[in-house]
Amino acid sequence: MRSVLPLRMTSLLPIKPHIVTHLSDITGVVLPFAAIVLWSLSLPSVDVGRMTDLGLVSVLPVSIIIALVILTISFCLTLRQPKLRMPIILLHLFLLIFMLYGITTLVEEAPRFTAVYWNAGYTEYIMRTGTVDPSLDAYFSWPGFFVLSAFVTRITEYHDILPLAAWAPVFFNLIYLGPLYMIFTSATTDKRLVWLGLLFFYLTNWIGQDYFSPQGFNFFLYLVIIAILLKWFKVTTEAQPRIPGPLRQHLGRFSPPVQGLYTWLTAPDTLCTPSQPRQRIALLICLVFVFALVVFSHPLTPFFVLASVTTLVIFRRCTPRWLPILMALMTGAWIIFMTQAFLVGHLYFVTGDLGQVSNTITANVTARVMQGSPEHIFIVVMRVVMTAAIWGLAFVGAVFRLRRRYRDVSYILLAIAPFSLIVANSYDGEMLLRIYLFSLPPMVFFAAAPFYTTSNSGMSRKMTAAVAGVSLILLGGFLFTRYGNERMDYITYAEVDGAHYLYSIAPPHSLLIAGWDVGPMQFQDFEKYSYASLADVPSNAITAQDVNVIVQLAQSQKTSDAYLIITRSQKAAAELSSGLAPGAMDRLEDALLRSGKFELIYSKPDAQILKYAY
Amino acid sequence: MKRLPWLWPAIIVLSTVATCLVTFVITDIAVRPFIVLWFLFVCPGMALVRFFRLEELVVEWILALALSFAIDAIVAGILLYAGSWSPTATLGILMGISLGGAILQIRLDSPISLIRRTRVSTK
Repeated sequence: MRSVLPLRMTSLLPIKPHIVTHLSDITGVVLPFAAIVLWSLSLPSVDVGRMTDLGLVSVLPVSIIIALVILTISFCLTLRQPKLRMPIILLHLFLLIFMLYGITTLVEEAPRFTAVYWNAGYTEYIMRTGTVDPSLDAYFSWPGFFVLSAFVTRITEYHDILPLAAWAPVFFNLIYLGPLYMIFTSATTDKRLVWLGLLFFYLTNWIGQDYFSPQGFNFFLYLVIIAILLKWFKVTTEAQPRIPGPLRQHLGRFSPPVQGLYTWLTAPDTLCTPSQPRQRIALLICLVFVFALVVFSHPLTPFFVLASVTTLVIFRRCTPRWLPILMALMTGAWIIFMTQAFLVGHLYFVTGDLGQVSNTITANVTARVMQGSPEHIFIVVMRVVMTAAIWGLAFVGAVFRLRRRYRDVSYILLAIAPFSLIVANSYDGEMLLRIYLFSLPPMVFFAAAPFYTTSNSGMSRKMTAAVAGVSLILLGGFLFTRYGNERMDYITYAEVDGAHYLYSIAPPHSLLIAGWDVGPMQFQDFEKYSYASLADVPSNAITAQDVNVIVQLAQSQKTSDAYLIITRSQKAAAELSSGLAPGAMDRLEDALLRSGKFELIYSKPDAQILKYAY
Repeated sequence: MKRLPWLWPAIIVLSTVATCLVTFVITDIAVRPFIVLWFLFVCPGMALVRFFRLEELVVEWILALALSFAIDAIVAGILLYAGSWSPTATLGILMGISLGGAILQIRLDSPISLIRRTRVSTK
C-alpha cells in the first residue's frame, strides 16, 4: 500500500492492503506495456537520415524518450513495493534491454557498425573454406567465436551471419542478465540493491562492445566464470587459514591501520552457497571448459579473467589456489603453440606498450577528445563525464558499505583488478574501454549501494525520488554516450548493395580503397583483395583535392586493378572523427573524376564506386 | 515448486528429434532457425548441468547456456583443426551428447535407480 499511495493517505483510506498490492501489481504491468506501445508507435517517425553528429538522440522523437522515462520510473516504483515481484521486475528489464539495445536494429536498415562486417567476413571465410589461416588475420589465431558463428550459420542455412548479427546487442545483453544476477546475489541478500544494480548496468553499458563480436561473447563467459567462483568457491570462515605466528609478529610492527587493512582484506565472506564436494568438482570442470573457450576465442579476455581470478585467489577470496596457475598455463600454451603466425612480426604490437601507461591513456582518451567535429567532441566529453560519474558514485557506495561493515572485499578487488591491464597494452586505443566494461559489474553494484543502506531504506519516498533521479540522469547520458557515433555507425541497404556490386566486379588481387575506415567492407572473400583507406591519407590532401596522393595510394600495392568506394557512412566518419568540412569527400570525388584518372562505374544514393584507370 | 526429474530429459530428447527433423527431413520450414538455435544454445549444456543437481533454475539456465556455447564451439573447433570441418558431423556429435546426457538422467532418476541409491545410502 505504502508503495503506491502517500503514507498519509494510506492511513486515511479504508482500502485493504491486498487490494492495494493488486493495484501496485497492475500498475507495474500497465506502465511498462504503455511504455512499449508508445515506443513502438513512435519508431516509424525516426528518420536516421537527418541525424547530426550528436548521434541517434538528435532524431529521436520526444515520445520515445517519454516511453523510456515511463519505463525507468515504473522500475523505480516497482522497487519501492514491500514485496518485490520478480516477474514484474524482469518484465521491466527485458523491455528496457529491448528498447535501449534493439532500437537501432528496428529504425536502421542493414546491421550497424563496421566491425560487424569484418567479423561476418571471418565467419564467411570459415564457412567457405572449412579452415582458418592465421597468416591472414590475427583473429584467426583465436577463432573460437568465428568457428561457432560459421557452424551456426551453416546449420541454420542462412546465407551469411548478418541477419543474426543484427540482433547481437539485444541477445548479449539478455544473456549478461543471468550471471550478473548471480554475482550481485552472492554479494547481498537485499534484492532491491541487486535489481537496481542491474538497472544501472544497462543504463551505463554505453561502451558498445556487445555487437556481433568475440569480445561481446567473451564478456558473457567472463561473467559466468566470476559468478561460479563467487557463488560456490568463496573462502568460508572455517576454511580461511589463520594468520601464521611469524606473519602476525611481522604485522605487529606496522601501525594499527595497516593491521586493520590486512584483517579486512583477508576476512572471509559471509554469503556462501553450500555445496557438495562432487558438485564443486563438476562446477570446476565446467569453469575450466568455459575458460578453454575464452582462450580459444579472444586474445584479450583471458587476461581479464586471469587478472580477476588471480586477485581473488591472492587475497584469499576464493579457491582453488591452483586455478590461476592452470589458467595461465592454458593461456600460455595457446599463445605459444597456436598463435605463432600472428606473433611473428607482431611481437611489438603485444609488448610495445608494456609499462607505457601514458601511451595507453593518450591513445584511449586524449586522442579521442581532441579529434572530430564540435558535436563529436561533446559526445566524447560526455563519455568521460559519465564514466567519472559512475566510478564516483561507486566509490561513494563502497565507502557507505564499508562504514556499515559489509564485507565487500571480493567485489572491490573485482572493480580494481581490470585496471591492472592498463600497463600491458593500449590495445589500439581501446584498452580503457575494455577496462570500463570489465569493471562495470562491481562498479554498478556499488553505485546502487548508497540508496539501499538498510533493508527498508529504499522504500521511502525521498529515496525512491533519488533512485529515479539518478536513473533518469544515467538514461539521459546513455542516449548520448551509447549512440553518439551513430551517424557513422549506421549503414544503409544502398551502401551494402554498393559493396556487393564492388565484390561482384573486382577481380581477385585488386586493391579496394574505402572512402574512410568504416562501412560495409571485407564481409566476403576478404582474403582475395588488398585493402586501403583514405583515412590513411593526410586530411589536408583530401581538403586540397590532391589527386596525386590518391593516385599514389592506388598504385602503392602494385595490384592489377584498384577501386575506390565512397559510401554515406564513410563520408560521415570523415567529417565526424577527423573534422573534415561537410562535402569534402564529394569535392574530392569530383576532382578525381575531372582528372581523368578515375572512372565512375557505379553511382547510387549512398554509394559510388570509382575505378582507377592505369 | 516441485521438481519434475523427467521434464528436462524429455525436453532435450524432443528438441533433438525436432532439430534432426528440421535439419535433415523437413528442411524448408520457417521455424527451423528457432528450433536449431534453441537446441544448440541450451540442450548440450543442460544435458550435463542437470547432473550437478544445483536445485536453482536460474543458475542451471546460465550454466547450461555457457556450457552449450563451449561444447558447440570446442566440438566444431576440434573438427576444424583436424581438417574435417563438417557442420553436419558437429551437429551429430552434439545430438549424441544431448541424447546421451538425457538418457542417463532418465536412468539415474528412474524409480529403480532411486531405490538402489536409497538402499546404498541407508546401509
